[in-house]
Amino acid sequence: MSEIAAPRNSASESERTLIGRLKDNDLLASFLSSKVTVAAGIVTIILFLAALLAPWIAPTDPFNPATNYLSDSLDPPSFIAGGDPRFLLGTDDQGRDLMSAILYGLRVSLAIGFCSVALGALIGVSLGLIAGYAGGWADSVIMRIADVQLTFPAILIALLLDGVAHALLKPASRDESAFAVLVLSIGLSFWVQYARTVRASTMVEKNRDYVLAARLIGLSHGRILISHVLPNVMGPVMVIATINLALAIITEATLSFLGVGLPPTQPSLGTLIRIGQNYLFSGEWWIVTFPSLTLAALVLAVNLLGDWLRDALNPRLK
Amino acid sequence: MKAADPIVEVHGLGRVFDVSSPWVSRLIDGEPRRTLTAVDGLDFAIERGETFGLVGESGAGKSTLARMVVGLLEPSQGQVMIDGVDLAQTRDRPTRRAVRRRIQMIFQDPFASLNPRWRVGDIIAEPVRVFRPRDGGAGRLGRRAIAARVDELLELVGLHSADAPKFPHEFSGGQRQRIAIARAIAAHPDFIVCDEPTSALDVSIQAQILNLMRDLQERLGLTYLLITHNLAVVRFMATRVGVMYLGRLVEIGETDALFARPRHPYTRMLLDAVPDLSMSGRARTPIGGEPPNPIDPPPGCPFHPRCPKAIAICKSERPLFGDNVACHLAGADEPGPAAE
Amino acid sequence: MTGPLLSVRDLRVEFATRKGALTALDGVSFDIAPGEVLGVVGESGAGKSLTGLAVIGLLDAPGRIDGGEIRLDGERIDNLPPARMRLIRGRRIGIIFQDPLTSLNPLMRIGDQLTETILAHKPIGRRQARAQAIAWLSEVGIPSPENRVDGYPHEFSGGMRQRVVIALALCAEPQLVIADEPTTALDVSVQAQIISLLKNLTRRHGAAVMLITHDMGVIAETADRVAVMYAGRIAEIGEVHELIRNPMHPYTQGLMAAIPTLAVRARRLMQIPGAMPRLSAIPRGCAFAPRCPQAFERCAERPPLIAVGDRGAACWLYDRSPAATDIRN
Repeated sequence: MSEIAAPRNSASESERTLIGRLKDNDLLASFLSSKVTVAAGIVTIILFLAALLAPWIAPTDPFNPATNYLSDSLDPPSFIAGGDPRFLLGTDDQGRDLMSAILYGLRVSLAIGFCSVALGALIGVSLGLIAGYAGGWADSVIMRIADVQLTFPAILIALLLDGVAHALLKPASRDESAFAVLVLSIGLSFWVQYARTVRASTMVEKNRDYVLAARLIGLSHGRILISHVLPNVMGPVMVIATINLALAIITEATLSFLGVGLPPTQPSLGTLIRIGQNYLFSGEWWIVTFPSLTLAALVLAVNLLGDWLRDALNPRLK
Repeated sequence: MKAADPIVEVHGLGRVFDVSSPWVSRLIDGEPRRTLTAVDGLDFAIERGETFGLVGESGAGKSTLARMVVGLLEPSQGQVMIDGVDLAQTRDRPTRRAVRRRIQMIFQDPFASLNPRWRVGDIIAEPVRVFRPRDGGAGRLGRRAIAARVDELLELVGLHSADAPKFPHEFSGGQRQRIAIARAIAAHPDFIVCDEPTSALDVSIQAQILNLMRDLQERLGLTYLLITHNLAVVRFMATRVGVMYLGRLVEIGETDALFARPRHPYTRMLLDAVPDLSMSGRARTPIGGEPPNPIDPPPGCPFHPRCPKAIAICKSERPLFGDNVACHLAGADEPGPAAE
Repeated sequence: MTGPLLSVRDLRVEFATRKGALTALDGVSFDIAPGEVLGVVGESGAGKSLTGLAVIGLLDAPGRIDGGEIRLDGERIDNLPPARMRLIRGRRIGIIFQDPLTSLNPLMRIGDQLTETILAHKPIGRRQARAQAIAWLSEVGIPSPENRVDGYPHEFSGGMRQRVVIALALCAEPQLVIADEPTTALDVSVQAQIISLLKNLTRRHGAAVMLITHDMGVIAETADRVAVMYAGRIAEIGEVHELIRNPMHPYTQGLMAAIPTLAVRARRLMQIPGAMPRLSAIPRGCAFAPRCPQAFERCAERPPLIAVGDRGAACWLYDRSPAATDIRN
């Protein structure tokens, strides 16, 4: 059948090696072209690694009461007069090494951030797919709920859900379930953005010929949604998730700052800031400053990455 | 002429779309419900092994008809029978599956008919997996068997087995259409609806694809319903041709006869409108006007505003389809050959 | 008549990409005489639209003219500042694009768009311009133009919109009209009307036409001469009837043989193996050689446009003399 053979594309053959593909990759090129983005990327990676490796690189374990010396409480950072060389960034009111507390706090903040984004994305993407594909009353119901929820600021919703959960749980189990409650509240307050984007993309994709081809062979709607439509609507979701991560971390910090987040025995960056605020005017500035700087750096870096991702993916988001 | 061994039979097929404004606006403006009759009472049959060409311009209802024939859209009236089975009326799952396996479709846009996130091998293998076609035994086809089948199909359409792990965007329009054809024939269908399969392709690529389709038809014993607006393509591919105008069939005939002696004024004028590459210098009367809006069709014969031969009855009464043509003047006025 | 109206010599257009510069048009040369219709035909990727855009100065970055000259009535127009080019566009060169939906401003009434264009290029008053606008609508075949002149584009059908676009292109009485796929988006029956309208109007107003299309049939009906493009170069150029009846370049021969005709039911369509090379992979020498059934050793060197009578073919098969004659038409 050489007469009807299709023309060979020899150029594409040579691009198959991994290095070749990386060099060709537009996304990578766009990433490397902006110094700000690269810097943001580096900061993010450092912070992620620090959080991940906290149990191994932290000088002490701030959650182990046995290692906390109340006598060492409120020590200034080691590079200032009066500081103790054991505690690089000083100690807090409980005698915990601030550096270790920040590392562990970062870990907790990131964990909550990721989990709540995952939850929000799961709910939002599912509802968006259903609303876009089914249309009709399912679409109307879901979108009206979304509209109603959007009239409230996300933080208020998180606060509300948090409060309700606290009220429902027995005091004894409040501390253990604080993590889960936070993830749930923050996740549930952010699903709407995902749902709207996914719904819009789904409405476009469901009329495309490849979906018709799948319906033609009799595939069930669920199968079409998950194996055919979903991969094609995920692009914008990644962008939203990245920006949402920063938002989730801030929300958790705010809730902890307000006292309804994580308990002081398991402090996140927000809790540390709250504790530190009490001591700010008596001169122990380090307890507030270093966690705040860390939080700001993390949120800024993640936001910048999100911006880059959104712009880089934009021409493809047709 | 009635087909002797029909694989597809269409009886009184129609489809109406509700294009009314939303309820509230209608209430306020006092507007009535508005409907769009995309397909209006079609009757025809397609014989096993033939290529039935369906031509018409925009608004003729070709795409709606295509979707009803393959079961993607439910008819508002009438029925489509594939080898005696009406898909829209059958609830029995094994029967539905058996019928679905025998029908396939090739779409117009090679860039939209393949899922951009799937590898080509998976795209082609999907019907094979779903239908688990004749493999002799009762078991599922194993991964190796499926991969072998995919390679076989790729070779059959003129591509290589090395193309299976690639993504659609790595291919040109003509190559993608080949992939779409491979997917269409994967589960051994009997009947393929081709909706403008080469309209988006360059002339030289079109030639390759049309030749491929003809070769496959011979090798695999396929029946085609070829929908297109390109009369030259129909001339090359089809054994019989049906001409549609505003949702209705106005003429059916064997290709050679229809092109040499078109009986309906619209067919005559459509043939006249095609630019003359052979430059025979024939006298042409271009059609005036444009295809009317299907929401608001003219009364009587829908072609009468543009028809040079329209008489009084054409404006009030709809001509019935008889003797393969729907025209009040058929038979009474014996047309001479319109195009050389 | 002194010299050609439009003269393009060795036009080179480049696109700057991350991987280096890609040559999209490589030494394109042709002339258009006043009042003549030149068809520019080719498949997708051949560079025909780019040629039109380059002539009219609408090449967007990262594309740019990298060499050659374009002369309108003897003056160079390829190196003009944007302000000067804007004056020429519309007044001396009119454009018709493929999609009438996007060529017309959806928020402006048809009559206003016409009137504004006329006012921009002619020293007459507003009332006179409006009268001319209505006259133009009538000339392009819009029924009861006095009533329709204040309509918006979406109130017109596709064919009607394209008629308005033709009126817009011609209302400033340009010397040259560049029409890029003017009938591709239209139904068959409407195509015939628009082709005939374009032909008659341009003849009546003495405008030359550069008709860019992939449809050989439209060229056969409308053009006086035709240039066949392949991979950014001109493969063959000549009088339209001769070229269609007797194509010289093997690509043109293959193309003509691949087109299905109404006349007779062929056994099989002739096909050219392979596909047009991508911009990044144009072979050295003759771009068509890898697919050419008549290729020989000389084809490793790129052939110039060789004169054969008043036709031209970029093919070594027509090299009759030891030194290849390089023609400019």
